[in-house]
Amino acid sequence: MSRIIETASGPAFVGSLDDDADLVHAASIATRCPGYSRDEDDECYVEGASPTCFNCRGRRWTADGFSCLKGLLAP
Amino acid sequence: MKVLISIDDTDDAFSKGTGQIAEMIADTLVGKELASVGRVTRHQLLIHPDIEYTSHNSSMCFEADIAEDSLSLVIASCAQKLAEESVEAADPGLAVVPIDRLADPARLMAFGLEAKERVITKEEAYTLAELLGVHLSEHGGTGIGVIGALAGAGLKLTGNDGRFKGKFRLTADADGISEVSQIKLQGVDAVRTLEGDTLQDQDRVHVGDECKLILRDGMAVLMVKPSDGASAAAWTVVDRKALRAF
Repeated sequence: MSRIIETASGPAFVGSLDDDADLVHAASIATRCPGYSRDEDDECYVEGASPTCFNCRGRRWTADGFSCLKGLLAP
Repeated sequence: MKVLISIDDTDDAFSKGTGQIAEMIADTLVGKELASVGRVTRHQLLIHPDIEYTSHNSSMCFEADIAEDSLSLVIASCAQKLAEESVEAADPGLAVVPIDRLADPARLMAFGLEAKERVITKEEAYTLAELLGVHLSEHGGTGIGVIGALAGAGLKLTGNDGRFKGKFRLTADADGISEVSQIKLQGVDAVRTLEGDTLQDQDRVHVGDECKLILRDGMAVLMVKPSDGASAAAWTVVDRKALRAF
């Protein structure tokens, strides 16, 4: 189950592409995010054009999820 | 002669991506009539807190066929385009590998595989490049992109890593279904399952609108899974999520 945690470099999303609940959570955040920008197609792992942090140009992959390069990740 | 041209660390979160720059470099070489080029492949490297990367830590590589006496010109052209297109905040690196002259191909492949497993220093990359007779250069910032550039070439050389940049539109019937024999006439060398089984020419695949290809056994491979009744074809292309493993 995904969650937002605070790290030294800002908020990070702990979650997985393989968990449906995490996909819903990431879509909910991205839909409300003023900084959402879809990454180039080769880097998008969720089907469709709907916003999701998993496909955002501003996410930075980490070992267990991603952080937000725009500092906009919020629950 | 055949060379591998590999780049890394060219972008920031808001600029054009490394894959796009690799294609621009390839186009420049073709435009100058310095090379004929193959398709760009993307190679995933280690995600680790001690590694500086923009967002996904991947490098981009393509093969080029060049004249025996034009290696210096090719390197200069690649370096110029890389420097022009990389953003100021980036740390771009360039590797140019003369495949047939490589002193020890296995060492380069091992380096690439290691870069998926552990943090590697710039010094290690330069030392190996010198030992193998590979051109390795940095073009701004800290130049830390030389590690990924060299690793990308090593991974490409294995023939068993990464995926091809871009989407491929395959001809299919009105239901989006195509026979493997037809698919193989369209730039796809083989169609395989995630378990590694190869489909036969008469097998039918739901290819939909667009597909992605991965590099396996030196071939462009379309990955499929059982359609489980979702299509009239027995097989369907894997979804995007599955591609992250490549």
